[in-house]
Amino acid sequence: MSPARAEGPGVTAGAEGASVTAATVELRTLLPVAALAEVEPLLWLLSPGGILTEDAGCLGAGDLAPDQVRVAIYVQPAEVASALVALCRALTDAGVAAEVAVRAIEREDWNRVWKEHWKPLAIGLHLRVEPAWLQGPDVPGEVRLVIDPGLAFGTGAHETTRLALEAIERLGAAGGGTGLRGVRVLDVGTGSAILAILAVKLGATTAVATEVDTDAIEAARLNLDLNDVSDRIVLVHVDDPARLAPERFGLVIANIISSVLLPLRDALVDRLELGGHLVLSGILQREVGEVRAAYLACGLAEVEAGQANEWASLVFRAPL
Amino acid sequence: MAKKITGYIKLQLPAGKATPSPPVGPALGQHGVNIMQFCKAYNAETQAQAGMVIPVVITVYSDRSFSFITKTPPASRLLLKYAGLDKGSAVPNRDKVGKVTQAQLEEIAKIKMPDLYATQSATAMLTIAGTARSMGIDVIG
Repeated sequence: MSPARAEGPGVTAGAEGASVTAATVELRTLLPVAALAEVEPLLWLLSPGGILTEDAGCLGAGDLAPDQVRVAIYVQPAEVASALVALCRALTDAGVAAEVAVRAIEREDWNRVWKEHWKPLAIGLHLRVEPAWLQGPDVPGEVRLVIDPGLAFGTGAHETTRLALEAIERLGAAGGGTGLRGVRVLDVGTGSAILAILAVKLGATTAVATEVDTDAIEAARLNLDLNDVSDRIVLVHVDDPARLAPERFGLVIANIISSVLLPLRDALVDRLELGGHLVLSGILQREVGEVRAAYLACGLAEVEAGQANEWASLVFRAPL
Repeated sequence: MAKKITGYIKLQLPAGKATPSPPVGPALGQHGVNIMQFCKAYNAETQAQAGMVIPVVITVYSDRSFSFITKTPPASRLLLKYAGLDKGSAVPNRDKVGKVTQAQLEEIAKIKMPDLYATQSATAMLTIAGTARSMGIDVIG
């Protein structure tokens, strides 16, 4: 069905329409490239999570002429009507006779596709991360982590997660494999909970895993069940990552990004037991010097530094 | 051997705040790109520019791996910021909604230089002054 081109902006709904149960509604329209700068500010205002700007060189945009750009914004179902009015007015003001296509986007549709390409991963010396939908048997001598990332970060595929997993594995291997025995763990910004799960599988007694993102908490809970560690890891939803459990831990883990790790320094260091270890990951190579200096300045000793492509990890130990 | 490029995806995202929600989720997910991996890398790259919108061009390869380059914020976004506005004028040639100084124009030109064809600041400033006019923002001083 090809919608009729109107004099002013017109509206077409996708086959499923803009269902009120949709997670998000997409409003999509075609503009002359020259008109983009004029409507852009409104697009950002309506769609603060970001906008799509497809030109003829983009994937799936073979239908566009070289001077055309397809833009899409994403609004909550309740905001569709007001966003449409604002968008149509802006298009008219810009002298663009375009139609706006409205389409509901369900939450899982897009996340499912890349999952289909995710295969089990061997990490470190003895770790194996498996997608929840591709579980294999237990292999002697191998630590198996079963993960359904849902909308959370942490599959082991990314360098930052891999570096942290490897650092935790090495801590666990110390003392003939007793390195984490009896240790209590704090995992800040747990995401899929993959790091906390590994720590308890390697002998840590319990873990507190904090997260600011509610979607991630949901995914983490599922992963605790999948790995049979729900009774040993407590998930805590926090508004502010600095608001941490008021206890001290033998191992503190934070795989976030430098702009969070730096201001979190005092909160993280305060949670370390005497002689406790701190694993930091999510650091860009170019930022590692700054992060290292900040943490060394509060009396920690560097145990090791890891590197993978542009990412780095650091392990520190608190004085005894 | 160089990896085969499947194609490009262009987005404009809030610096340091990309999430798996649309547009990132659907745009990347449908091509098999790991959504969270992209978000983490993008946020790390742009964290210092919080509050800005940073365009990004993502290259997707045939093995579903990706690379990306970030661009400078759109000139219109920078103009709004410097003029302290949410949006431009509905009738730019009649209703002027804000102003920027020549010095501010020069700062914006400096930020935009890497993405402009202009090789001289003066030329870049002219381009940006043109964008300002089209938004109903006066250049003063």
